[in-house]
Amino acid sequence: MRFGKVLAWTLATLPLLIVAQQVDKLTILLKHRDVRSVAARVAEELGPRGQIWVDGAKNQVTVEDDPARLAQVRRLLSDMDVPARRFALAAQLDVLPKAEQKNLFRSSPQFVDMTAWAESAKPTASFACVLDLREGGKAGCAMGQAYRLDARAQGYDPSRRRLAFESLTLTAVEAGGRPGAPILHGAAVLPVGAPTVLLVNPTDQTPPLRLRATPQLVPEVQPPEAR
Amino acid sequence: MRIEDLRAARRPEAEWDPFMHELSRRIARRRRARLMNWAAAAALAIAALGGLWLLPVTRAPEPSLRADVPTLSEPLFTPSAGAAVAVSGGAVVILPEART
Repeated sequence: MRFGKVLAWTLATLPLLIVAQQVDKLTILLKHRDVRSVAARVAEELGPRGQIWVDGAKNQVTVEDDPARLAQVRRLLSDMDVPARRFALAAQLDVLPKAEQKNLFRSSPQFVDMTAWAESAKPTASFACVLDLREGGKAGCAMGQAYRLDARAQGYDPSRRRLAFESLTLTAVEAGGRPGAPILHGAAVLPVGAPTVLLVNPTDQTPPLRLRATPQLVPEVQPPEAR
Repeated sequence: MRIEDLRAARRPEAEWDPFMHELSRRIARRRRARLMNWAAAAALAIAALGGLWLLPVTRAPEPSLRADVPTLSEPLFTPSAGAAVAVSGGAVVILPEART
């Protein structure tokens, strides 16, 4: 009798267990993007049983996971596999007054307070420019006569609304118009539609700088004859 | 005069004089050369037409865009020098030690 009950329960739950263990496979051929540029992002969506294969020669990605996660991956890939998007990077550079302390951003107990001060401090001079760039492209603009901003964009994550920059470089322009040493140079991942503040203290002699960068997604407008 | 009469009036090859032999060889050589020219021109024309037909078929694929989509592990800002950067209250602070 007891054995019969166990057997009945096993038989009843077996289909559920089989369904629970089920994984599906999805293969997508990318048209607009190199598959290697999205593989790392797609891998983040996988569950504990998920697997991903990348075929660089065919430019296709194969994902194996639960059906629910696969639907999510399919949606993400269709959002990412589009021609290079266009962005406007609005940049504002504020030259801040020199602080009384020798070093504005020195690691100290007042560090956070100093950051808050630098974020809200009234600038002595302000420069602004807008960079027009596409994913994978580069652009630059002059910020007044003393500074220059250059950016090289990478990919955009539509689900998290973040744009990657391979390099973001703020350079001081010397008296003859020649570019000097970079004040700020590095890779960045900036949220789109929201400003990111970068505080830089170039040297003890020069004033601290506050760079506010806001990338905005520019909608593609097709010419009337192409519609 | 009919063509049959001309053929009948034709002297056998054994009776030809050297001039006729040379003339016959020259005519044959000229015919061969003309045939070869036509064959070469036809082959060239076929190759050109075939190339024109293949041109849209074997169009080079458009290069895929390589623009890496950021992952969550990538920080807000990574200086080239790889030194000190702090994020405080949404602001990225580049410390003097991190200057490049």
